[in-house]
Amino acid sequence: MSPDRLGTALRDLVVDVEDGLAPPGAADLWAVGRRRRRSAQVVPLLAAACIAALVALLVWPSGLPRASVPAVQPDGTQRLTSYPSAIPKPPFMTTTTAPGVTAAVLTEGFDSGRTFAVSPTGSVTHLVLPDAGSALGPPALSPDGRWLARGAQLHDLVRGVALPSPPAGTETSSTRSLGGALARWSPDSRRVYVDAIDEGEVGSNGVVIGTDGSVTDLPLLGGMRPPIVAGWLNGDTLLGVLVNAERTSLPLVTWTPGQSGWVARGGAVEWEVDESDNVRASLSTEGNRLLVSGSRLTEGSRGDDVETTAAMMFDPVTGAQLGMPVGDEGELRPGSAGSFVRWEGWGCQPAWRNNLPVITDGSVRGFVDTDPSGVIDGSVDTELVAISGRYDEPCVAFAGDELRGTPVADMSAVWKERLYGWGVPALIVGLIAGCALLARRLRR
Amino acid sequence: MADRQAFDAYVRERWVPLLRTATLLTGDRHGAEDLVQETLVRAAQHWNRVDPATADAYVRRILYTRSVDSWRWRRHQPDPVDHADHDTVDRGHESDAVDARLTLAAALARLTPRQRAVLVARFYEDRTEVDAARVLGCSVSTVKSQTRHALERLRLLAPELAATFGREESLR
Repeated sequence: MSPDRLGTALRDLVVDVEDGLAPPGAADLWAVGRRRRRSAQVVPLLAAACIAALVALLVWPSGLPRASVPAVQPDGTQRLTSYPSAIPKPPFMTTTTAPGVTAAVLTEGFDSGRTFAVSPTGSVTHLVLPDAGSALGPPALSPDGRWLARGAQLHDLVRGVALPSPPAGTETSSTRSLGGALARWSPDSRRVYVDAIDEGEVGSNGVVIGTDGSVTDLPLLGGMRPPIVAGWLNGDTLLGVLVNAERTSLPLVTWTPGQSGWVARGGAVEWEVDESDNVRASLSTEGNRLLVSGSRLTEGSRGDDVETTAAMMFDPVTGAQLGMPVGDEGELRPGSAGSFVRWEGWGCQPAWRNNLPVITDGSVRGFVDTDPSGVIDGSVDTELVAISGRYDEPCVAFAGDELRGTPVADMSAVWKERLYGWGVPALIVGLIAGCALLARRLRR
Repeated sequence: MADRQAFDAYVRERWVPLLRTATLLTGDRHGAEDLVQETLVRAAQHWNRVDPATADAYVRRILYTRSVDSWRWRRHQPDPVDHADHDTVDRGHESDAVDARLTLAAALARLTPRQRAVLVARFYEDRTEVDAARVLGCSVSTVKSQTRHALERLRLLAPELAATFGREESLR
């Protein structure tokens, strides 16, 4: 045989291969190739995304930025210029006694008891404060975002130090426990009214504590329940409401430090008070609206006890009804008798925004001030600040009980929260998809 | 779009030659079709990087590489003792030529994929050892040794065709 005999024999073996054969669709082959090319490009990207998510999950919790936005001084008083539009999830590790200027303080329910400081840009830090001892009631943040009052204890959030509690020195101090239902900061952030409870009997008075350490006792009201303090009409005068003997109205009273007693203002708020009601009053930041709310425990839809609150706005001079911007027409017009608004919650202190009340029970929601003609429309369900669902029964206290300035969100924290929300599922799905693609390629 | 048209043209022109080579590499028609299709898909995957002048060499290199990858193609290998459904031969003819083809096909089927690839590249496609080494992705010495071993094995498996696998073949 010639050297070409094996080659010839091999060609003979396949000489009839083309019989009856049509080439496959090139379009199909091309499409499959293109699909594989894309998947080959996607797999590294997916792997990179998974690694990035993993790194972010491991690294980010340790490094949240500290609040550093300063307060402004337009007229001698210090106020914040922004508030957080979102409060992201609590940080894992960052704790501080001096978070700096703070726009809001979030406290959790009794089971947790944790406190978080939220900067004007929405950064959250875990606030670790000295044991407040007998301090009761919710924390109150001064309008300049620097001071935090917990009962009678004042904490400087910028320097991280606490002022000593007021010394005993008055005729009532031996039986007085400071820090009852609330604290009210003056607009200039220089002093705070703190509620007080007489131990063992109904009846209390409070004190006014200055950030310079001064303490002023409020005068006692003989034979009457103490006034429910609504706030400061200006830097010097406290506005409160009393509960009359028939429990049918709340007379308006004022007190200025240095005066020997409360002074009746003339007007009264019509309000039926049940013995079990927890009545609160809050003066708007412009001083021309008074929000009165009454809370009581009711049986919830799931059989548990739920605190239901009803609220209405009044004129702080005459006590006339201003209503709420909800109801049949959903409008609030100056001078019109208004309607109640009710909500379920756990009794957090309402705040104000654009001279309208803001509910802070669980979520921060309020009304939308839209119309330049003065007609206020909106729903109480309009969310103003988004709070992460990771907090347990949150209550948010804003600086000066006000959402002031521009809403600002810490986008890195918001994205971090979103990443935590879908990062882990995406990581798992990505890994499974990557393994499936790899197995498919190997099988081929 | 130009890539796509060039690929379409290539498939139309080179389908049958590729299928013949694949038939020798795999030993059966269905396996050969699978091999060529997989080869063309792989080529399409990277067609934008293929030089049109060397497209056929690129595709054939994929073809050989895939055929040697016995892990993936083992399931397509024919049973060495089962020639009943071998598509490349027709048992209806009893001539010597047909017997020789059957014997050769059976012997080829019992070689390793790499040995078959070397024989196909060297003798069916009539490539030099250097060219075969390039298309198979191995060294020239590997081509030489694999060729020698493959021919020795064929002589053992089909001694009646010894003349076909003569020493002169391995020395080319």
